Amino acid sequence: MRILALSAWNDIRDRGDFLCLIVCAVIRPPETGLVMLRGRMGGSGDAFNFGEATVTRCAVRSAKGHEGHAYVMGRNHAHAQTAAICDALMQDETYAARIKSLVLNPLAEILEGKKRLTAQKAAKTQVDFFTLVRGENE
Amino acid sequence: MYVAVKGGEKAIDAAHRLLSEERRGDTTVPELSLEQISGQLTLGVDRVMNEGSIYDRELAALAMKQARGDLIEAIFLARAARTTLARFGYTEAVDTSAMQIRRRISAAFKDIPGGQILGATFDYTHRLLDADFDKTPAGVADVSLPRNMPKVLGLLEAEGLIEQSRPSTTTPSDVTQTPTSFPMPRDERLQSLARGDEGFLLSLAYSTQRGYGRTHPFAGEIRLGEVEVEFTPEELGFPIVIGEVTLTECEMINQFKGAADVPPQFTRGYGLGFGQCERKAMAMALVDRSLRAGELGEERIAPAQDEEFVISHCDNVQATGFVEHLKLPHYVDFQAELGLLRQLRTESVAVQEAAE
Amino acid sequence: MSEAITANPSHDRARNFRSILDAASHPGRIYAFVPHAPLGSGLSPEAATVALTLCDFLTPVWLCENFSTPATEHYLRFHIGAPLTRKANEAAFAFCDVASGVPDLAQFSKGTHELPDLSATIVLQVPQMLSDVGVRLKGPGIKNEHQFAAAALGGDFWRQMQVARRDFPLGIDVILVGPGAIAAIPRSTQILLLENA
Repeated sequence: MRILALSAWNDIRDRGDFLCLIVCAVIRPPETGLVMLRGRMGGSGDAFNFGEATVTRCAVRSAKGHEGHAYVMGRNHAHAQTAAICDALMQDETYAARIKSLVLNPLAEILEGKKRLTAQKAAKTQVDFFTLVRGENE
Repeated sequence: MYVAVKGGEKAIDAAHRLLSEERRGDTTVPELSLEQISGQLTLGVDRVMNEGSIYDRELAALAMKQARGDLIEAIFLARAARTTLARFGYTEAVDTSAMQIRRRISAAFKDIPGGQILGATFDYTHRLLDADFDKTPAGVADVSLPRNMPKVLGLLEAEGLIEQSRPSTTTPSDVTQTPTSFPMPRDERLQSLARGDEGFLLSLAYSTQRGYGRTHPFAGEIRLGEVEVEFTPEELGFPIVIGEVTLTECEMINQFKGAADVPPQFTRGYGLGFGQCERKAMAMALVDRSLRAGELGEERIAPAQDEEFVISHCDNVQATGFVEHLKLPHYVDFQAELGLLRQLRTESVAVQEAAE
Repeated sequence: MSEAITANPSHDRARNFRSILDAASHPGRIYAFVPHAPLGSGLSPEAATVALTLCDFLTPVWLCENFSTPATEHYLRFHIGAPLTRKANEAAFAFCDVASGVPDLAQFSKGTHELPDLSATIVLQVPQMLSDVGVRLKGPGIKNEHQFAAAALGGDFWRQMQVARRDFPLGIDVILVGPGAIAAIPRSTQILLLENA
């Protein structure tokens, strides 16, 4: 669920096309709404509300009766529906392993790669301060 | 008094068509795409998300385009878009200590665990306008940043030198749901400041540094990066990750304060915003601290300490609503003023003539 | 159609809201009410539609005994995200099936003097409603008088309603739903029993 929520839709679509071919009953068609984000004062104190984000949710039921739920930030209906289908099928032994290896693991690797690159670019801008002591070079 | 005026539909239609034409401009010039706006005017989009109070880059980019670059108009559009969407609930509080850092600095301490990371910043540019933007690709270090970048203020907290930041179990208020009144609790102030106008808060923050309120601040830590967002749907009953947001967080360390029963400690100001909004987060933190005057036993003498003044005027949608409403017909009201003025002038002339 | 929400939920919801508004504006008048609610609520389609139209994640919902089933609770959580409460005085909305008896109206919140609107709205599911017979209603939204009756709502219920409006503007508001129909009696309505004639 986390991997699908964090992944870009293009990456999911490239790998998860087949998911939409598996018939699931739609309990709740994709619906966009808002969640109010909370932060903490001082980062660790009392919570406060500081702004909303768009979220799309969807719920499906597979032919075997497994319920799949998805809440994905943004307004992409297909993203939410695919995530819900995936959530349902992951509860089914006949699909779980395949979905993991064909969809979830590759997506996780892409996410990991992006994070690593971001961290490496940031690290390149790390400062090494030198304290200047007056009179040192006299 | 507002007068209902009929007619003008044709003129309004024509005005809208003219607006569309001017918005598009010269048709031989390529039209802006939302990707261009979101990707290349990133910080403008960040501001629209912050003050529009809705985290959705595409939506904010569309608002900017539709508003022809007028950010407060774009913020207005974003706020209006908010009202068309149902609210599903509140997220779990984001954990900024687990942020994937893209920029992280402290002006209070030179050496901090994890290091000072400049990130992509204007700070050291020379502010010279230059049409040839440098297109050299960014460098990549061999090693990543450490995954764990502890909060700088935690160091001071550990030694008891700064007021503690510990959560209580109370549910925060929501100014978008319940009407506000003064005095306001700090959570409501922070929510209001988060969506407050950057310019207004910047000026107020500046005023606190110029002696209108003595907070003597240091930038304890500023960090920018991504945090995951967790939400607990009612039907599931457990939290799930629904995505991530880019946040800027600023913690200001302010003047120590002691009380009879509390030894002197540094006090804190806090700022948090969507995207890369350092100036806003810093201003928010300075004003937050300033507005804590009551709680910290400080005399309120400066505008930035006046809660009602600051909070009532920091929302630019409210502000522009009232300022721009002056464009509505006030014909009858003005006619009354005109009539009164004429009468007064007649009386004044009569008095002068009588005196002669 | 299975459990899915309708094709045009916003329009349906707006129409339903309009019906409720009309009913509350003309107390006792019975309006046609087209339910639009996914199946499986355990409530009548009309009652479920009122829930979907008026409730949300901020409105605590209280269910009478007949309705307090896992299926109904799951339905309300899933489709609305409404918090459920067993404490009647905390409810913003109460859903009652008169088949299981008339609820004790005194247990619900009547609001406060500062915020009378923080009171409860009672949604009563009734088998049938009739005009031109029953108690006489007077007050805002009613020209002269209007007669109203509902199956299973007798003298005890109407006397309770009279008591509930004594602290006006504090009070409760009642929405009645029957098959394909809706009516409402807000706290501003005066109720005259036959014996008061």
